[in-house]
Parts: sequence; C-alpha cells; structure tokens
Amino acid sequence: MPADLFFYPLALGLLGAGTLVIAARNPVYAVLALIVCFLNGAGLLILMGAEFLGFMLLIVYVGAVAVLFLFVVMMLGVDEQRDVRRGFLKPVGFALAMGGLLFAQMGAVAWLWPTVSPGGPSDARAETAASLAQDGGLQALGRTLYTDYALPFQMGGLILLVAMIGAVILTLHARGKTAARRQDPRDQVRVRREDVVQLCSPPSGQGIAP
Amino acid sequence: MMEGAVIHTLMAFAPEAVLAVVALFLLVLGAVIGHRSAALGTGLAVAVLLLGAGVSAFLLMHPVPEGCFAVPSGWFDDSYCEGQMLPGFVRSMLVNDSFANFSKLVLLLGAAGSLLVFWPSLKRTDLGKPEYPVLVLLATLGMMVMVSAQNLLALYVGLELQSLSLYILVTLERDRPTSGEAGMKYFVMGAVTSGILLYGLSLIYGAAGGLGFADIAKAAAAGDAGEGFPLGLRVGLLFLVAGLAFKVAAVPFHMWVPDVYEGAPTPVTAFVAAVPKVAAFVVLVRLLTGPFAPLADVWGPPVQVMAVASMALGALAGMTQTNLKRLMGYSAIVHAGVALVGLASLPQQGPAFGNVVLIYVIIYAVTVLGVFGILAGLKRQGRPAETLDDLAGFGRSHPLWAAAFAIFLFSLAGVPPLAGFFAKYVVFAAAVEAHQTYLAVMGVLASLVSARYYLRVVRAIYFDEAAPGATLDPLRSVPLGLVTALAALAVVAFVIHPAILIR
Repeated sequence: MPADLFFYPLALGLLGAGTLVIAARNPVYAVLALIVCFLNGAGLLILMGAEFLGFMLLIVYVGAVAVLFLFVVMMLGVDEQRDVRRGFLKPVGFALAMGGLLFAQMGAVAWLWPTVSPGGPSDARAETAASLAQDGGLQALGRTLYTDYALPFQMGGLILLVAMIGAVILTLHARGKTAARRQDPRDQVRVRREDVVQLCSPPSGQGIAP
Repeated sequence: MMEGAVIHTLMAFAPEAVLAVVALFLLVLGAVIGHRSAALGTGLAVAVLLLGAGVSAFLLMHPVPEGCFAVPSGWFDDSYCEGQMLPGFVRSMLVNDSFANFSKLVLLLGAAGSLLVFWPSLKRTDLGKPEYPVLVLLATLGMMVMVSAQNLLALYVGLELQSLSLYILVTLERDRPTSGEAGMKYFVMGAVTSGILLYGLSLIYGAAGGLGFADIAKAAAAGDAGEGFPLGLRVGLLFLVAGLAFKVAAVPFHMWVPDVYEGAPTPVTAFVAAVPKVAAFVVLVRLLTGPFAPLADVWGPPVQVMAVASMALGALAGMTQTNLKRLMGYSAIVHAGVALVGLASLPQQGPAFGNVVLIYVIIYAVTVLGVFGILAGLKRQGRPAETLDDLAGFGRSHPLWAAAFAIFLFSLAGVPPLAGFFAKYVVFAAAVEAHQTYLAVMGVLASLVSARYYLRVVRAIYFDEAAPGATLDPLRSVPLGLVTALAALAVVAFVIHPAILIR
C-alpha cells in the first residue's frame, strides 16, 4: 500500500529524531532534532487524514514553539564543555511510570470506546466521524466552527482583540516621573556626576545632617 | 441557504453586533485621532448603550415568540417572526427570553451609567484614553452573552471576554502602584478561578454528554428519575458555582475584592462593583433554577455556607477600614452573602423567586454606582478623596451631593423607607419561610454590624470638621449629577411601588 510507503519512513524518522533529542550533547542540536520530530509527526497526522492537526503542528510547533526554544537555548548561552545529559537517568522510574500510565490510557480508549447507541452522545460522535470520512478533517472542522460554533468562535476573536488592546495599553504609555519604579536606560546613560554625587566633610562625632 | 443563515445570525445579534462594531470603530477612531477622541468615543458609547437598552426594553414589553428575534423593521407586524426565526445554531447557544432581555436592559443602563461616571476623569491623561469606552463596551458585550447563554461554551466565552476587559480596566492607572497591584491580583486569582470553572465545565460535559443547558437538564432529569446523579455532574456543578462565586465576591472567593476596589481607578470601581455582579447572579439564577434545579441538594449546602461566611466576614472585617473604597469592598461581600441567602431559598420558593434575588442585586448595583459615582468626582486639593478623614465637612460644603451620598449609605445599611430595606426584608422573609431561619438571623446580625460602618461614614460627612484650609474641591459635573440624581431617585422612589419585588 502506498500509505505504508510513507508511514515507515516517517515513523522511523520520528523515533530516530526523538532519540536524538535526548541523546544530543549540544542543546541546539537537540532542538533541531525536535523540529525534525515535529515534521515527521505532522506527516503522520496528515497520513491519518487529520490534515488540520498536521498543519497546526507545522505552524504552531515548528513555526513558533521550536523557534522560541532555539532562541532561548541560544540566549542562555550553551556551554560546550558541560554535558547537558548529566543526571539524565535519575528519574527513569518516574518516566517509566508516566509512560506506562499513558499507554494504559491509550489502551483503555482503544478497547473500551463506547459502542454507538442511537440518540446518545456516541451517536453524535459517529455522525462527526461520518462527516469527517466524507469531507476530510479541514472541511468538517470549518463547517462546525462556522455553523454550530460560530458564536463562540467569533467571541474568541473578540477575546484575543481584548488581549491585544491590553498588551498595547498597559505597555505603551508615556513614561513620566511616576510612582511606579522603572529603569530608563537613557536617563541612566545621561546622568552627570554633579547631579548624583555630593561631597561633604562631616564634622567628627556629629555625622551627616540629612 | 448559507447566505440566508449568516444574515439571520447578524439580525439575531443586532444589539450585540452593534456593540461589537461600535467598539471596533472607536478603536480605529482612537488610533486615528488619538487621545482627543476619548470624549467623543465615550459619548458615542453611552449613546449606543442607551440605544441597546431601548431595544431591550422594547423587546421586554413586546415579547416575541420563542426562538424569534424581532428586528426594528418588524416591530409592528406580528407575522414578521415567520421569516425571522433564529437559526438552530444560534438557538442552541443563546436565548432571547424576557429574563435575558430584562438583564440586558439592566446591564446596558449600568454600563452607560458607569461611563457617565467616567466623564469627569476624561481630562486626566492617565485615564482618559480612547480605549476606556472600548473596553467597557466589550465587557458589556461579554456580559450580555453571559446572561442569554444557553450553552456552557457561550457562557464561558462571555465570562472570559468581560473578565479580560475588567482586568485591563483595573490596571489602567498604571502609574499608581496600587492600581497595578490590584490588576495583578485580580488577574491571577481570576485566571485560577477561570481554570477551576473550565475544569468544572469539562466534567459536566463528560457527565451530560453535551454543553447545552438542554443536555444538562436531560442528564439531571434522568438522574432525578432514579439513576442517581453522575459524579461528574455533581463535582462539575460545585466547580461551576465556585467560579461564579468569585465573580459575585462571595467568601471564600473574596480575596480580590478589597484590593481591587481600592486599587482600581474609581470610575472603574463603579463599573466593576455594579455591573458584572448582576450578570453573574443572572447566570447563577438561570443555572440553579434551570438545568441544575434537580441537584438542589448538591448546590444548596455550599451556597448556604458561602452566604453565612460572606455576611460574617464582610461585616466584621469592614469595621476597621478607613479607606472608603476598601470599606465598600467589604460591604460588597456582605451584600453578596445576602443575595446568596436568596439563592439558597430558591428550591423552596420556586424559580420565580429568582427575580427577587435579581432585583436585590440590581438595587445594590444602583446604590453602589451612586456611591462610587460621587467618590469618582470628589477631590480634596486635587487629590481623590478616598478616606473617611477626607470626607470631613462634605455635608457642609456640598449639601446636595452629601444628601445623595447619605441616602445611598442608608439604603446599603437597610434603613426602612429606602430600597435597600425592602430588598433585604423580602430575602430574609423568604429564608424564614424556607425553614432557613438561621440564615435570616445571620443576615440581620450582619446588617446590624455593617450598619455601624455606614453610620461612621455618615458621621464623618455631617459631624466631623474639615481641617482648616483643606476643604473639598467644588464638584461640578452634569453627567455625574445625572447619574447620582437618578440613582438616588430610584433608591428613594422605590417605596412608592415596592410590590415589584414580590410580583
């Protein structure tokens, strides 16, 4: 099958890159491997027919999050000598437990997925699944967002707008000599010795009058 | 078919859509004209809010068939609704019943009033920004969606929209450290509460199999019929009530109240104290008498505990306050407790009693709008007058304003001929009828204790002498006077027809 042709390289790439993420000595390489990881994951999702999730993974994770990681790693300054993998295996028991839990949950979903009953919520799920199979993920999602959930969707836009207004109004404002303490680099650079240094010779035993 | 559906949606949201569009327009106006557009924008916003209130009042007086949304051109034609049915996806999100319309009327009037209170502050450079009316409009829009929500998702986005706008408004006076502190506290606590609320909603969704109130009602009815309520529904309901209790400032979700009331710019305090409370109580009444009515045994005890705790803590902690805004914060906690007493007797009194609780909250909102309205304009030598000492000599220098202020305080204390008395009386009488006498006793005690701190303020106004040369600045503002006069009139004139409480 042609799908297998893509599946195995993508899955192998995902596993390999994932291993590299935790095995790389240099954090920059680790982040780059993480990006490869995301790319392969996105490919797998598209292969499954979940185009929306796949593209979101590309745009959000590869486009934004991974680049952010990279910036942070570079800004923190990577010490070539120090091995970031030191103490790596300490939480292995905890990691195994969490991984086991995840697998157990996935197994539970796979085995105990409720059977379809007419009129119940599972029925609606089956409907969604049917429309997904018919239109593909993106179309089904768009149809749902712009019909059934048009109102919350638009309101979500307004909420983001408010967040934007807030970010602008609270950060961009005239800096006066105000009660809230903040640093102004320009003032700090321009400061003159005469303004801040005061020389005085206090008489002994009396101290400096304030 | 699709195009028709879109147009219907726009018509269905006529007041809300106009609010949103005007808010966007004012934002652009502010960007183009700059700071000078603040006054223009505020005026325009008040006009739009009053227009919306007019539409709501009209819809209240001319109820439309269920699922129909009358638009202006169809006002006088009964058959108009045939082509104006709300599309299904709107009907599943919002409802346009008389309860929603009445709440919207109150919210819009309250928002317009708080913008008028803001008017004297327009001259201040730190506060008189074009974004102010925009944020008030968007917060009002969020509250309008909240009160007409028929779906937990719609409820949540409405709540979030108003919360976010309020956080920004509270922090607006950033040069004053207390304003930043208040905004930060409000934001952090609000975000945590929002998380709790959202978690509750997800549990309810899991248990009921849907987010619509109808789905929940179905699940609750099934549980009532003998299957027992699903655990997710019970726990989710508690989380939901906790999230809304934060909005109404009930103990133990009250920590933000004194700090925010004190730290926020006074016109913002007027808005925060009056309007969102009404919206939150409307949602509580709608949920507790609607889908969650069969679960009265689950939400009843927590509501009673919160009522007692709020009244006790608010009354005792308010005693030592000298800052008037802070004092009003504790007063708000007491009043939230009294309103919760009303909610607690809902199962015995029936859903119609929800209107009484609502009117109680509205009376409180009107009064508190008047109080903060006066405080917003009051200055002593250019500095806001906020402490009890600042108010010394107020009665002599501004007899009319002081009289209105005293009326508001007496109403808050529950002195007989004023509106606050009737509201408290009806709530406590209902509690006794519902065999929750201890709540009524607690309420009367809390009212007595808190009356002491209102009287302290009255004493400062009328009997304390101002320090020589430190008199209050003259207060001349037509919008402020209008709001104060209307609020005072409402509080006094309530005695003419107190029966609307019992109707």
